[in-house]
Amino acid sequence: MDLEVVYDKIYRYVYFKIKNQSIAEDITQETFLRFIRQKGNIHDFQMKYLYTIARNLCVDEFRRVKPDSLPEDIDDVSPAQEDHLTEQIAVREAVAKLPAEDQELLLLRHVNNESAGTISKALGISRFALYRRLKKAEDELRAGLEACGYEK
Amino acid sequence: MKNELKDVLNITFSAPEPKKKQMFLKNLRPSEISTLEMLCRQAGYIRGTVWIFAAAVIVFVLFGSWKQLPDTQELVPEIMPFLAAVSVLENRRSRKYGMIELEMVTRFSFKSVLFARMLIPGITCLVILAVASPVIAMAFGGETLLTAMHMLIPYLVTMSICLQVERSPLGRRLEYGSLAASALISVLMIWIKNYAAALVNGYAEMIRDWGVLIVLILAMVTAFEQWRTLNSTEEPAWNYQ
Repeated sequence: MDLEVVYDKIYRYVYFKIKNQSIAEDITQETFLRFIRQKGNIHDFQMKYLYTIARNLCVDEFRRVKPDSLPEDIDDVSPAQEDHLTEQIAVREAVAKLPAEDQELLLLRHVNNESAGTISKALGISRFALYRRLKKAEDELRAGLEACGYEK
Repeated sequence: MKNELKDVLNITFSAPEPKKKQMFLKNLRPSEISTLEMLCRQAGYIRGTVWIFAAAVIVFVLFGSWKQLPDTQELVPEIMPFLAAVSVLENRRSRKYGMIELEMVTRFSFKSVLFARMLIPGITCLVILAVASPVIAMAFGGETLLTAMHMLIPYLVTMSICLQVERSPLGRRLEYGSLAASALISVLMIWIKNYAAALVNGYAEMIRDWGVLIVLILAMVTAFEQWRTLNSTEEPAWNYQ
């Protein structure tokens, strides 16, 4: 897998957990360095280990981290942009209503496109539990999107 | 899951563009490992058949010596060409395939990795010699050094020939050219043993008188052939790096 793709996946995952850009990036890099120290190579990144390392680092950092403040340059927006932003906010709210564990699953499976095997090993759950929780999360997300009037 | 939902999730979980990514990836280097550790890791990539064959030779030597099987002393030198061929074939495999083991090319040069792949079977052969020579010499009565030379000469001859075969255009096309060469040498040895007694006696005398010198010359020839094989990988090294 391309190194940049791996980096982006881990960064996205860490950012989802930490919600702080610079710390997320620091943790991503620390994840890579720890993996290399342990495994010694940079060609065969095993995602399950990377996620596990990243997860543990996030746990370590979690209490010290404050979420990034919202960007300040959103005062002057066109009506079209405003509609888009409103829609995004609605979508984010629907996702935010899901439990954090379900959000994590959706991120790993549908955004980072990880295999069920990788996710189940990284999170320490069985494949059966993974499929069950994933299905439930998808159904809840659909219901949440319908409730907030999201159409596409 | 429908694509729309995937889009939704992509939007939701989007993260700000990382600022230090390119710099980090550019400077990313594998951790340092020692040469010994590199050799150990490379040994892990060598096919099981090589180890099984080496173990089988030792078991045969020990069993044959223990049971005083009369052919043991003569069969072992005839097996040695196959051991050489297996070593060369292992090296061929490293060069032929995508070679996960060559991942270390970023830490060690391509040549170093290939050299390690040649060195490991070579060390294995030395271990076999170190075990087999005294055991056979003690079991059948003879000098350890002479026994070792009887085993080492066919090994070195086969190794040199196989390395040449592997570099030749024909050898590159033939998957098991080295194995065929070793079989030929082995058959030739058996034929000489059975049908040319004068040659056998002459050979035994020659080994007794000039064995050390012959082994030294053959070792130099083999080392030269290995050096040439390593140098012939210059072009692929550029491709992999």
